[in-house]
Amino acid sequence: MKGQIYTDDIGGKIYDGKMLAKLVRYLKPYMGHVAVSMVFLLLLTAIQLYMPILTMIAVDRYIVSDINLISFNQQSDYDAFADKYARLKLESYEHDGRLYVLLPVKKLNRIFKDDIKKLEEQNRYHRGQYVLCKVNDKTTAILQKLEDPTLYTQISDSKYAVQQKVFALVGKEKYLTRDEIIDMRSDALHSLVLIGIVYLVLVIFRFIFQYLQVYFINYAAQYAMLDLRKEAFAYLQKLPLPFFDRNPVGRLVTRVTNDIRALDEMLSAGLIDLIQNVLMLIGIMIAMLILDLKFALVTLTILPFVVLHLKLFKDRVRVAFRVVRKKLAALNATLSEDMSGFRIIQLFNQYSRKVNYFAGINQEYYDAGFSQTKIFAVFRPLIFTMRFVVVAVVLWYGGSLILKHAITVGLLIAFLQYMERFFDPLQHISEKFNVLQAAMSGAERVFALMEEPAKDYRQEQDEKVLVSGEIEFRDVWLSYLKNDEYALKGISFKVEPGESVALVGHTGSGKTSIVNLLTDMYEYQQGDILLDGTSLNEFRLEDIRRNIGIVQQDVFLFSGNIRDNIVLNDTSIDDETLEKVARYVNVDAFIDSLPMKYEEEVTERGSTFSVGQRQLIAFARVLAYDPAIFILDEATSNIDTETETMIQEAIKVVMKGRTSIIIAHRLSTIKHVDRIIVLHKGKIVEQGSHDQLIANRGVYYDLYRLQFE
Amino acid sequence: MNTFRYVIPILKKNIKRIALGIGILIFVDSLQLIIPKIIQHAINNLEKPGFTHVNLLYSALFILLLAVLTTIFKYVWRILLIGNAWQFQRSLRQSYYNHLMKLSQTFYNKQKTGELMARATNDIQAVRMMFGFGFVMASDTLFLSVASFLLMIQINPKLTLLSILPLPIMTVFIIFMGKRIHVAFKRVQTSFADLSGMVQENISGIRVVKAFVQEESEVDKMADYAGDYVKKNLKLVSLQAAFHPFMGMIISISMGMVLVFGGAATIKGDMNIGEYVAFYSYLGTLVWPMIAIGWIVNLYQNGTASLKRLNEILDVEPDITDEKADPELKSIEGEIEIKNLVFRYRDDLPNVFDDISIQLKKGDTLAIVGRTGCGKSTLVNQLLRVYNPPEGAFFIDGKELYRYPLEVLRNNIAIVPQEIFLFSDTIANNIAFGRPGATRADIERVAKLASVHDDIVGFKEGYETTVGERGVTLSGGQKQRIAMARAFLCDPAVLILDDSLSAVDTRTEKEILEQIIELRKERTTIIIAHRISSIQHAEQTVVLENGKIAERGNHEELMKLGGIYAELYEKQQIEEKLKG
Repeated sequence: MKGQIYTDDIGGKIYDGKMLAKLVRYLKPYMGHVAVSMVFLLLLTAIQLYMPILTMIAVDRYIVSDINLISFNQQSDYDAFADKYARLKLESYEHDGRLYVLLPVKKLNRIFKDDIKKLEEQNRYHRGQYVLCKVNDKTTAILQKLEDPTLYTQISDSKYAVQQKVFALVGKEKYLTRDEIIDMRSDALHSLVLIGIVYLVLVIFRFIFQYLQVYFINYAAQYAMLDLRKEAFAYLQKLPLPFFDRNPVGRLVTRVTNDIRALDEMLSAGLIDLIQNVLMLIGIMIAMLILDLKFALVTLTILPFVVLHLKLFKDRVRVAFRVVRKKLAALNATLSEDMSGFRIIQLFNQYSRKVNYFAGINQEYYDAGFSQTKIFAVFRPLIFTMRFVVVAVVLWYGGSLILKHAITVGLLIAFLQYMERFFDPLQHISEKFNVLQAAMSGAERVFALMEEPAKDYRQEQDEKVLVSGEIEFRDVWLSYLKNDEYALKGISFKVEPGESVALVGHTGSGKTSIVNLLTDMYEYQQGDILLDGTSLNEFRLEDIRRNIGIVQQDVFLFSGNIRDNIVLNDTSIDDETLEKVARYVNVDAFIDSLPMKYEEEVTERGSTFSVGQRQLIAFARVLAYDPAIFILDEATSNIDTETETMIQEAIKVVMKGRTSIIIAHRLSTIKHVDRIIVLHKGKIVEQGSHDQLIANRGVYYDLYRLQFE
Repeated sequence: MNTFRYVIPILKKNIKRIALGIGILIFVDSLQLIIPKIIQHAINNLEKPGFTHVNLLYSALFILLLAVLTTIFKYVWRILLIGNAWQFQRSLRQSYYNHLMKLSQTFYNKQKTGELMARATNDIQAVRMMFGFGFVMASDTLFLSVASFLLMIQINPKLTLLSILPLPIMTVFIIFMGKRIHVAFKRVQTSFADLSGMVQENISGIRVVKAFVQEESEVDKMADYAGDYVKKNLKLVSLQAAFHPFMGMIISISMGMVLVFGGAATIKGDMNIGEYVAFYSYLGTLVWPMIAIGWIVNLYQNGTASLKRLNEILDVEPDITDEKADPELKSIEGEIEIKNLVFRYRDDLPNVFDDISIQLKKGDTLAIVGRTGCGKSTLVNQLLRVYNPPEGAFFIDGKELYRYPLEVLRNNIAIVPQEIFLFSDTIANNIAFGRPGATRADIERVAKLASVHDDIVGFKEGYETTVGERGVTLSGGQKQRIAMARAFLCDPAVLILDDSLSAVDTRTEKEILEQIIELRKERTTIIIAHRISSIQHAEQTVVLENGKIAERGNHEELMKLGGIYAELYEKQQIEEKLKG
């Protein structure tokens, strides 16, 4: 199964309150940013909502300008009317002994139909396009021209009314030339430019608010997720080794990287977009209801259908997506497997069968994709349909309201614009479902990781420094997995301070397990391990490990430079010490030969250096730290003679005055140590010096012939 | 060469569907463009005497009719075009798979599986997107932009020019920002990759981290990487945050032009209020293609780049073919001869085989012994033409190897390879891999022969147990024995065991091999073995060393010789003793 791509399942939940609550905890420190972002969000939503209203104002007041006029022959008639409609704050103008009242549609709307009817019968109410303009030389001239009865005959008793500097012009524009109209309406044209400027300012502010809103929320999300990432990673560091044995590296990397990435995407894009869209939807509805309650209610009858559509679509699309994903995963798994097994397929002549089989899976994926396409092909156009239905409703209902002079053309246009903006958020909301879904299952996995039982670092213990380096194992039993065979079966031995011991044994005899326990990497089931006569469990974990210098078989160097790898973040080690230890273990010449010397970058875990060179660097590391105990797992691979000699020299230097345990593979090393412990199948079978053990003709003798000869 | 050489034939097959789909798409677009006209007339007529709400209702119903038609035809083109893209993807993926299955080890040695997979997933998908949504959007964009532009001109040419004036700024902005965002995005990706790399290194080296108490400093280090990622991300955000809002601003300015200049034109009587409203709608339709262009270019670029990557693979000619085969040859008896085989991988490399000659009579067993890397596996792989051997070196039944069709060759020679590969399928199917029609009785017979029957019936689902990640994890020894059963079932004229019992304990290995030699008295067997004790009974054993046959003979002769063979034997005896 090599070469398979690691993928996690995406669970079903889109919204998970508990997860969200956990996430919000990380946002808390950045609530200031979130709040600022929200304020900008509100502001820009307000601007968005105001823009159709601005269009409405432009259309109604300046572009269309259909003002109605009522004339009163007697002051008493006017007074009665003005009294009745005092709340409308009607403006009146006197001309030629008559009183004129200008009635914009908005106000007309609030006058009783009976009154209008009466006025109409008395030929005192005049509907139609009346133009409002300022008095100046040009307009006066045009007005005077209009007094020509041949030009203007339709409304006999009132041509225009003048009061101070404002007058209402009666009559259709078609009686005027284009230039005359422009002169008459120059006022409206100026106002339109003003509206244009307001519009431009709003548009620019909207841009700025949008920009800042996005930036601030991203800032908060990014830093909140940085905190989560650090916390998750720090937690991961403290998990016990068996956890790492159980979980593939790729999976754990995904937790700290991709899963959290999905979360910051959700916070910065998914969630905010969702809020923004919902806000917009509500805003549009409120704006429409305020502008005209009845018209809005009629228009919004589409809402239940929209909600129904959204729900049907959401469920179906989710199922379809999941099927597509599943089929794709199956397809990829087969492809990947067959690519690894191509040789077997060819050698067993199964090409045709496999091709047919793959065609079947390919077809299944196609079918899944096609059903998904069908769902989209039904539901996506349905949004358009609803959009058109709304347009039809607005046109029909709004149009008849206009016919009744209940609303203006501008309001109709504003409604059309609102409805256009109404469907975009709806579409966005359904698209965000996937982002949320992916993020939620990511969150679930990250938080599950952070609930794994961590290794006890025993921070509550006193700080202890190993002085002598005495090691004792008392009847230690270890099994790596529950119910598994014991890897160590009652190991007891003691290493005196400063003594050096070689562990020898066949593969699986328990050498590495002893080292694993000594550094407290695994938990043993029975017995006790003592350092300086104190049980391991009474040491802080870091005190144990700091006092044991270990050199691995295949030394793992950290990325960074050589110096970092020797001093390992210990700033108290100065250059002099650094160079001294390097000299002691014969690695100075090698380091000096590098172009950057101690500052030379270590790449790819040091794989550009040879095994021997890496071991020498590791020896320097041990010397720099000067631990009481030294553990060496000798390299099994061949090392060139020159480096081998240097390593042997270095081992001698490092062992001096230190309790040492060496997993030995080389005869020369074995000959340096004080004592050899021979392990066989998890037990100690022999102990003694090389010569004694050879004389014994036991396990050691066989091992010697097999490995060291 | 033409980038589209492999996809044109697939597209050609569906050309009618595609043409019909695009035709309908354009038809639907035209229907959509009628709606603003209806609104235009309705609004204008509101002022006219005699226009009542009945007339309005007709307009509304007309829109509804268009809505219904649009929905139906949108469904149709989606099925035609997007469905076609899925079909296209299926065909392309199948060709890719078929092609991969024809390629040889030489190809796979050079290619990383991950990259081949990426081509099958990401690249094929990118190509599908190009031919699905790319097609749709390109036709849509082209038609809508031209049509709405013309309709706008028809209403008011001056206003048209004024209102589209800001739009080129948007296109320039998209290109300008697009590049910067791309760079910033790449930096984010690199930073993320660095972060992943750091975490990967940390987890791989967790033992060392713990052994040297580096947990905290690793957290600090990781915080640096993660911090860098955040910074790069915010840098990207600072660009991206401007992208859509800026476009929105330009579009709004364009609309603002209509508000002011269109309003003025209406006041002046150059156009009426209905036209004013319709103009808004058409401008709205024209804006979309301006945004979509960037998207289309992107889809096209990604699609062609992906297609090129796919072409690279599809262009590779299979190197193991039946070119020189004689179709008359239908079976193999089992006599094998290697004559003066000299082979090296490349001219500048030393010889892997330096004059090797082996004769193997039908029914004999040949054992090959030698150090790791001495070429034992290469030898049998050449016989099976996993790699092509030099011509004139291998002979089967006296005829040159290349004269046998691959199917005949592989039907008659079965191998249990060194690296066992089982499919994630049931155990029964895995055993019957080479003979899919085999009966359960046959399967059980060979499983017993390979001493794996007892293991299999020990599983809950017996022979129906699924192998691999989704099923049981088999031990190395179990896998090897299942692979052994798989080869037995083919009952081949020549059986090759390539160090295929290394994970089985010595006693079982001995049992199995002794049985094989006994059962296959009449048939040829080649055994590459690590443990000498289990091949003692072979009629002929060769020891390979430095590309030459260093020792040759049966067990007794070789032991007497006291060379490599004898030394290996002794060491293995000690090892057995230690393990025992």
